[in-house]
Amino acid sequence: MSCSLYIHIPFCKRKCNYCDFPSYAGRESLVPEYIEALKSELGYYSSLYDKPSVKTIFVGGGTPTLLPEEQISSLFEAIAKDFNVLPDSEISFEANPGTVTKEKLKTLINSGVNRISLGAQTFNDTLLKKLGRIHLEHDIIDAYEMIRETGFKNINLDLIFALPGENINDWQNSLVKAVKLNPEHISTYNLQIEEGTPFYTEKLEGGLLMPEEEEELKMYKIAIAFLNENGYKQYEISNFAREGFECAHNKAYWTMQDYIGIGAGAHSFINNIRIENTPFLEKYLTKDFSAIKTEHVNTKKENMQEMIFLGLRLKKGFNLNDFTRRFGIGFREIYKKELADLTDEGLIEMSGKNVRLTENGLYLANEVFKRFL
Amino acid sequence: MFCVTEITKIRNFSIIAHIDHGKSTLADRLLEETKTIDKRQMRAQVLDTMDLERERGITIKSQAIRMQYKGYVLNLIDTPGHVDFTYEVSRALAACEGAILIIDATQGAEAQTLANAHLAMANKLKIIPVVNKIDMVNAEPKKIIEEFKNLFGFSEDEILLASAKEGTGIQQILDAVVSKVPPPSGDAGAPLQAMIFDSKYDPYRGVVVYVRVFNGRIKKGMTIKMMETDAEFEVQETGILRIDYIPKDDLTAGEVGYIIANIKTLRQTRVGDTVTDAKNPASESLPGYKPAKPMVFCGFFPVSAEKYHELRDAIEKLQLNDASLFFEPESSAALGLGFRCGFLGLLHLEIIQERLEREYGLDIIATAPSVVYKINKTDNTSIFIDSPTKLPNLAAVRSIEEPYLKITIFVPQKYVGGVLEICQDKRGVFKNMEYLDPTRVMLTYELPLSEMITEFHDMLKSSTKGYASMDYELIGYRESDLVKVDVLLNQEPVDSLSFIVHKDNAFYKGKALAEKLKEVIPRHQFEIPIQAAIGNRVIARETIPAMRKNVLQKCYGGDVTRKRKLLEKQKAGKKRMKRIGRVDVPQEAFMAVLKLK
Repeated sequence: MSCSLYIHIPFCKRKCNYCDFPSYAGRESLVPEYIEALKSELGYYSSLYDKPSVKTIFVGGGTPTLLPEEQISSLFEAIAKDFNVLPDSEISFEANPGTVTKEKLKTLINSGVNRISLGAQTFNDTLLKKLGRIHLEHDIIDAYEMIRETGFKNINLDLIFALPGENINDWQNSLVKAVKLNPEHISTYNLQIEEGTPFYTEKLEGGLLMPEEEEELKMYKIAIAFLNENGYKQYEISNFAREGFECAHNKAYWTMQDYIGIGAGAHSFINNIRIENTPFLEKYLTKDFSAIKTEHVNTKKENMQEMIFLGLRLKKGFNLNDFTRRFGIGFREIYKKELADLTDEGLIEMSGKNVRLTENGLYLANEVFKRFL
Repeated sequence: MFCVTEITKIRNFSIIAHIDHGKSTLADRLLEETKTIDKRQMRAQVLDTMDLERERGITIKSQAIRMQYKGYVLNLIDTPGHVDFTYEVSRALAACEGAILIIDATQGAEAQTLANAHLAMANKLKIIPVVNKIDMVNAEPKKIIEEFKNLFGFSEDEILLASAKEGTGIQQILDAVVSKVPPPSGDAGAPLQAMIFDSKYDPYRGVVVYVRVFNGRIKKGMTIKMMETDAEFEVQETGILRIDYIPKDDLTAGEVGYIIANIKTLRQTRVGDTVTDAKNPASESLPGYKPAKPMVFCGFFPVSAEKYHELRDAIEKLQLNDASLFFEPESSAALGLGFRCGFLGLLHLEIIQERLEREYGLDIIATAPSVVYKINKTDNTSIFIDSPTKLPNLAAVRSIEEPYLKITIFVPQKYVGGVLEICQDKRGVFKNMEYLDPTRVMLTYELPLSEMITEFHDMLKSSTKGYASMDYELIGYRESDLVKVDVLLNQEPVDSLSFIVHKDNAFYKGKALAEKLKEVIPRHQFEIPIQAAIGNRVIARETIPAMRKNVLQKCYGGDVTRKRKLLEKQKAGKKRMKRIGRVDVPQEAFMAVLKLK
């Protein structure tokens, strides 16, 4: 079997005010034990699927760059032992500007990592502090330059917009500064206030000044136009890349390819089964891999829905032939009415054999996706 | 144990109180003290059987239970604790010779203390005054004793002190019931007269009728007749009420118990009706019967049209156990097929709505409650309408009358100003203001019922920090200068959003409703104009802007389940809304007219 591989590192120096991902601050003492557990899980999947081939790897978090060098290299050694990492694989590693060092970057490059995803989020110091980030603007620039100097040819910058108190100017400024660094890839996310985060409480108490819907839309449009002008083509709702630098790993998610997720809170999709690992560190560390996983076998219908709502996230949409090949029945036969309605409403369109979102459909993507559920 | 009881050894009594003054807790203590149930069986507040009653802390149905104490039979008849059910309370009291009147030592007399006490006096009951909650640190028993003396003319030595929570004073209360409440009078040899004070529907046995026998005897095999409905039944079982039904050969004059007689529906056993012997009927029925008359009406519509029959079944089932619930099919241009339902009051409405949703799992849209208007037409005929949509063409209307209430409000003196303002705002007519003591005031107003079923309660509560209490009674119809305001959503009139309002408030209410609708109706992919109009004249206009952006831009990585859940949640929210034309309208929109300040 051939698949993508995701590895989750749930450790952070401190938890950001908006973050609801499985990640824990102040638990670094558990790192060695956690790396051992990751290796066990790699071994578990390796024997289950007979040393699968891997096309892309993504190490995310949390803050993977919090790991000491020896842990990083031993993790990649374990991957190489248990999986058949194909030549020319895209191997990404997430970095927090506050934790990047020359030594770590060298270790990463020596371990085979060829893409760094740097969590810049914004280039405004006031906003960075408001978010609870552990770095400032100059740290982003320093880290970025260090990454380049180490020899990385493929860098992504993560940006978040519609931050509390952020105005159009602030956002434009962040975009200009990001582009000035000249990364190969830029992701722009719209801040969501999630339950259980400090921001959520603050918002309930009325202390967060959030941009209006109209303002958010403006920011989104500015990002699309500005990045496009500067040679970053939008290929997905939140993702922009220079020619040839689209993220292969994320594309595997959106095109319903198999992926194995390793670590606390990681998700897998293997042979039409969606698997979720427990997000709880202690539970994960028991290494009882059958007990820490919840599985859901997707029905054919669910697979169809997912192919649609994931595929439509891509600018080019999904291919009708791919749909027919996968399900043995045509998209138009099942979703005739939806296709007609949404086309009438100007939210989706055909482009050759692909169904894709229109510009307006992009802004109202959830409205489109819901129709297929 | 339950051998024939001499009538002189029977005491029939009730407990009456304002809400939260400790009625249910006292009832529990009496049951424990008389060993009617042991502590082990005791759930707090045994007599409230419905989950909803327990949750809301309000007794909705009457209950009765028989206790043994020092050789006496004590029948406790519990009464509903809300002003919506005043008639039921009056019938339960009519079944008694005495009543324990509780006042909370920390609160003092409240509006329903007075109203219930007056009901009890009207029924010529012997009243035993009890000051409850004397264990509380902020208890002021002395002050309450003064109130009892001033309001009702009791002398200090008849007033008992108790703490139902701590169990103090319970014996004294039971002793007072025995010594002060007179035994029932009645002739076991006379033709049967038994008053129905409640009934319950049991899926296995049919209707179980709770009665107080005034004259004669009722026993198995006998054919009985309901004097109001003329329905006849053969008695299958009689018995007394403990925690369960305990069969007993007969019930004789003075006794309280139940009858099972293969009765299929509660509509044949109306509270207040007289049960007599079909072969040897009493010459007249017991006084005080009134047919249940719904005061407040609203429409219930299934969110999805195919649930119409399920909704009908559910309402019919609820009606089995609730003779005062009225319903008939209603057809709305906007909402489709549903039912027009009538209720005793707002609480009654809320309870039914909640039960339909909770017990029957139905998603329903309830339209704003309406009172029954009397329309005097130009052809000199009159009709009653229970919905604004039934208002005839104005050319044919000479005048409109609406039901008025007399309301009594008890309020600390320092909040009087705020209460006067609210009553004035709600078109109240000031009648009287009386000082109960230097710090507390009793206000009397006459007020349209339609104003009471809006935010009145909440406004009263918040302007008095919860210290006001009120009671009301219907006093009849009065002519008012009323108009109907229609609402147009996306250019289409929505009949179920129409409301009738006093002319002077029409402009303001129309505008406020349009604003409120703008708030509660979610954005759609297109602009939605909202208009309020009187006839063809638009009096207010708002616009819901089109939704511009709804897209998940967050990196959930491989967590597709979470993306799916988010979409499903959004979709489910929409499912609970009613689609009118192209617009999805949430339940709140239909109630919005009530929420206008």
